[in-house]
Amino acid sequence: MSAPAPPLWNEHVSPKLRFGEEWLLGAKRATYGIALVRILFGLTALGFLAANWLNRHYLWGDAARWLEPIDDNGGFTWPFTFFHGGGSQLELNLKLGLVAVLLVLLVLGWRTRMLAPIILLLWVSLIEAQPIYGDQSDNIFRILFFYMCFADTSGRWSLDARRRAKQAAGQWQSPIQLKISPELRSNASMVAILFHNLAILAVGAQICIIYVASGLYKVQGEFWQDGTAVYYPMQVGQYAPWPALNDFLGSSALGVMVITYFSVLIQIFFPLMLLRRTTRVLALISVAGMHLGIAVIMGLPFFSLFILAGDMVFIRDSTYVSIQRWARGRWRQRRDQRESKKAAELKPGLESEQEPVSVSSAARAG
Amino acid sequence: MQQTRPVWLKFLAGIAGLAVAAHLAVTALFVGPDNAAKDALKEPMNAYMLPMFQQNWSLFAPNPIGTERSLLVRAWFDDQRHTEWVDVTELEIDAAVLHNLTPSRVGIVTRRVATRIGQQHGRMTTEERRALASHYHDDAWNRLNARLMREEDRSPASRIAYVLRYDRAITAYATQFAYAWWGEDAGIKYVQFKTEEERAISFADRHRDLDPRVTTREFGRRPLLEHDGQDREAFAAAIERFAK
Repeated sequence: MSAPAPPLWNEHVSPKLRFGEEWLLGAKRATYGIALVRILFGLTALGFLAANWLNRHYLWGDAARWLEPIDDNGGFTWPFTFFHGGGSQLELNLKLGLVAVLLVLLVLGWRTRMLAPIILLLWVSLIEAQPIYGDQSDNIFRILFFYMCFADTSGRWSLDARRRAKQAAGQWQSPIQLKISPELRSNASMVAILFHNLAILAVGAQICIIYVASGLYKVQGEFWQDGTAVYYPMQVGQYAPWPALNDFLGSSALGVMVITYFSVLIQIFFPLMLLRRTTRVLALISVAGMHLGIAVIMGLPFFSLFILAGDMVFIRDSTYVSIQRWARGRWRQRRDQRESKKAAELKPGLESEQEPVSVSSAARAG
Repeated sequence: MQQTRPVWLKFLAGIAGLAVAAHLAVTALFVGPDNAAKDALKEPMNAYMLPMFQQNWSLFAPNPIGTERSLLVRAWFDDQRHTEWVDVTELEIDAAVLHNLTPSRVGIVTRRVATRIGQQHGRMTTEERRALASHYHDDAWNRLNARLMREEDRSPASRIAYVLRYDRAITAYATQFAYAWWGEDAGIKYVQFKTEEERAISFADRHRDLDPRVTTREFGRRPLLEHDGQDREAFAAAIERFAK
């Protein structure tokens, strides 16, 4: 009772402000999650290019000049005009080749600070050159990747991380030595932490907004209410790559209802389910299942993979660390087995029947 | 661990945090279902969100897509003799989507143009639809525009311009398709397209043997149209791949 400060401030507001400050400025958050987003985005974009490679001239080249009257570059102006107006076969091949190379570097995590904004620019230019056959996966990519330009996406599992570690250990020196005062360097890294964490927040919030908005639109619809909605898109050729599978799925009223209601409920309650660990695991497994269905049954794999990539920021770093430790352990174990097997083969006198026994005991020990 | 952080950093964190929070709030409003606030703030919100943060999550909602929309094309050798109709959307979907784990964007191309022009065509008057279904063998779009704009009870000028833009684009597509499908030397003079919308049988009737409801939108003959720089060869190569 000695301090005159109001208890509301002391007990409720102040600790939360301190928590917020610590969260934003203390350390980079979701470093593994965002690295996985980077890798999945790069791989999915490469997959998209591969899936469209044969028809690249028909889609984005001079073979698509017939679209000229409705060609508005999606409302984007310079600098998003790299692919605008088509291009000769050679020109388009070179430009798409450049994009593919940069995407490979993105997956490997090479100089992502510089690379990310360039990739964003090129990718948006490509997609918006003919937005008429775009879909929502393009929006997910553009918006999340824009946020990611402010984050450190190569802090883990990347060439950048390896180089930084070597540099810290004195094993490597950058050929370009800029003279930056230590104070400026430390201030810059504090700002980098802030920007990284805000970007993580933005990615997570954007994903939640997508799920909740999708769910809110769905509950307004008659077919979503009566539990038959998922049957209808499956009747349209574009969303039915496997018609026999659709006929099978569509034949069960109970199945259609369960999938319909499940899709709505998981979307609306997604942010709430993130709040507790058990429900978070359930939520992430559920949306992964939903997106697997969308990818295969509805033929929208790139849409599913981009949004599923975004979900990876909701998994905690500690979880990734344990997964990594487990995977490394398994790998080492396999390698040791292989080596001991090789050693056994080199000594033909040794009894080879003992081999399977040692394998199973090693697995149990691990 | 007690850390003293510089005041400017805390200040920056506060300002940047508020900016991100505001941005996310606008995003939530922008993508959310229609409401009074969204309506009142429409213009400044669009100015901020477009085109970078453009997005729409009413996918398959409130009502799921249940209509197959297709573009059909045929060619005319003179004003009497014509080819059969070819469902070019089906061609694309069979090539790019059917039994494919990684469908190409090729599966959306003609379906999208058919959808866009079909939706606006659906809002036009009977007289306007009759005009679009008429044959024009030269100066087609100027004359069509003049005729559509003359009508007393006409659609907004923006809709007329939109439909004619798509009419022109699809004619240019049909021209390329005709060259690729029937040959550049086949003696084709005009092209024609129409769209078909087939609504899925309702869930309750799925086991009954009903004829699907089809809406056909007619457009008349148009002169061949090709834009500068159009790559006929690459277009034909693609159509050849689809037909395989």
